[in-house]
Amino acid sequence: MNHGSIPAALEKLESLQILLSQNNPSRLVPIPFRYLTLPKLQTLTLTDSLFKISWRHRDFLQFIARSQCSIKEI
Amino acid sequence: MDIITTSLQLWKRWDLSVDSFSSIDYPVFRSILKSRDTFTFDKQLGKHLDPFYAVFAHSSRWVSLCLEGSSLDEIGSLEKSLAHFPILETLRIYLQYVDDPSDDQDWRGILDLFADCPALKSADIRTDYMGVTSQAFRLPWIQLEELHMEIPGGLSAVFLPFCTSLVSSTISYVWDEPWFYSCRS
Repeated sequence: MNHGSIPAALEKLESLQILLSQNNPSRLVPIPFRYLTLPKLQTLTLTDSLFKISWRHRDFLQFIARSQCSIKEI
Repeated sequence: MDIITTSLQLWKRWDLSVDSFSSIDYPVFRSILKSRDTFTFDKQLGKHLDPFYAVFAHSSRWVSLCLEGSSLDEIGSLEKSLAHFPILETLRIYLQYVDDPSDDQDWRGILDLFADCPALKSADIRTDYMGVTSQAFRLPWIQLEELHMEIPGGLSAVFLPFCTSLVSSTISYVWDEPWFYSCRS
């Protein structure tokens, strides 16, 4: 189990959809790429009606590099 | 009636709208509840004559179950020994919020009712109860292949590291507490 900063590896996950909502609409909502490793990921969907999604681009690139996944749809 | 009550092929799939349970539109089920067989069946359960107990006494034959409603307290108060889900593969729980303090306690029993489901592969849990967190639900996370969770009262993604069999997942969460804290805890 992941009890530290080591990204959680979900070896079979092919599709991940994250629906974001927040209590405080003034805050940006970070996407937690730095805590996931998804080697089989093909489809990644992020939905946010408030357009407050943000992520650190470096975290996203590291997530892609670390996962070695072939995303076909985002 | 014996055919109905003894056939394992029947009642494999249950969609229960709990709020309208008293008028549930299952003619066969209604007839069973009204039948002498059912009365005998209920007597076997001892003191429990509640329709919920009659239904859940057959939980061992369920492959798919959907519970939907705003008042799941009766299910939440079920004695765990009466509910067994050895072949349950698909579970859906749609719990709607109703502002009724008197209805705010017993339903929580549903949170761990499905902790022991050895065949469960797919779970779809949705509620707008702000008091419910993903940590509160006890499901066999490690064996789930499909997971849909929409739970506003906490970070729903906390269980993802435990879901090593997942193939598909939809996660909804409120940015109240950081993912970071949840993954570390």
